Amino acid sequence: MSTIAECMIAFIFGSVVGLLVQRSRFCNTAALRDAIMFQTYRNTKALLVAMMILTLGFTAFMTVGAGHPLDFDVGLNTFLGLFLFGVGMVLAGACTVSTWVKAAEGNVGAVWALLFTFIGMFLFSLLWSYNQWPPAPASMTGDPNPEALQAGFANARTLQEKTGIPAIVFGLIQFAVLLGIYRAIRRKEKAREQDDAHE
Amino acid sequence: MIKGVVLLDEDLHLLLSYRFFRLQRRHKCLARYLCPRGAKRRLLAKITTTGRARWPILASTIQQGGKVELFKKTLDPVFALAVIAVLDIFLFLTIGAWTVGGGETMMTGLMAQAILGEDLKRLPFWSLVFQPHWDYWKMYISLGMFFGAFLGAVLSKEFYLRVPRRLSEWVMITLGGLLMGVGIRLAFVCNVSTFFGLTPEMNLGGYLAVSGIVAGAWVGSLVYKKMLEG
Repeated sequence: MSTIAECMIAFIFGSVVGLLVQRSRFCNTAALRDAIMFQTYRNTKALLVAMMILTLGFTAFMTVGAGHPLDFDVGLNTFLGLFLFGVGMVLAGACTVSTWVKAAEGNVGAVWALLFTFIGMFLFSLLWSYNQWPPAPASMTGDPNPEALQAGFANARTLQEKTGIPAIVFGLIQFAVLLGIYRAIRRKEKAREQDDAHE
Repeated sequence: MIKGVVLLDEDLHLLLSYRFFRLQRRHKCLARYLCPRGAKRRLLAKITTTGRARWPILASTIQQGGKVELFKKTLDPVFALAVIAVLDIFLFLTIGAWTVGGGETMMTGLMAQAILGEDLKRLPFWSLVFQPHWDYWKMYISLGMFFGAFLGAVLSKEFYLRVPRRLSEWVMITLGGLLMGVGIRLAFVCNVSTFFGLTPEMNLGGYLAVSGIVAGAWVGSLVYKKMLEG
């Protein structure tokens, strides 16, 4: 596919996502923060449903070797980076998606957050350039590489290649786990509704 | 009776810091987060009814169920995310799953190139890992989101300037933005690639990232609470 076609598909996909997120007021940050701070799960349920659909879709297509999975090494830096990201998104009140959506709604705070996300990325590129960690391309082999703090990567497709079990089987297991979490949330909500009704 | 009141994210800052706290004082709740559930709902109802003039958007988010009107009522996020998930599967088949952080990095590179020019090439990150170029598809997802959200906001008359009023909010946003930027680059992924890319692909990085982001959000919430209360 030509690069221009790729960019156009990406733009159209992004536009639909932006519109839907704006109209539904979905926010990833809220999905985690509201569950932690207020025990409300409006966004968390949406996140889980999307993950369930995607797990089935992705692993089904990976079973037949279709699709473009992300292949890159992960390790301690993945955990650490997302930890910083998690703190940052709660403080900024928006994640990567909602900063764009809110900026488009006229939220000056979101534009400011976006600007400082760019600055943060640039600052990190200076640090990376200084000591080339993590992860320098040479350390990324796809297999565990403890010296470079890399755990390699494994996904449903590589599991299928290593074990011979179709990727969709792993996908179904993950689907069941996510469904379990979703149902637990629904149970909690129902119990609360009954509590409120009794008051 | 007001049912299913939805607090908006950007209003949450304001609501929590001003009205919510004062109203709860009035309702004699000892601590904001230990409020009896019924009282909390009554407070929410009160905020929605009293806040209508100041925050017109709040009034528009009262969900009344029934049929979906795209530009009048708020969509059910479960429905919206299900549609996005199905579209994301098509994107996964054609070019790759939905991510945002990579596109933002490329924008950073392009902006830095515009400011620094050829000097940027002296930084190994921008010559080895991310060479700034305009035809990187992930960048256009972010631009598309901006465009789509702008369209949605204008058509539903929800576009208006919102400016954080207090210095503490500006400080939190600045710090949060910096942490997000550093975090994305350190991990090589953002929250979108975590929840909508890596974890559904059952990539090991997805699980690492989810545990990281949940731990981070928890710590962030503690800090956030402290700052609101202090």
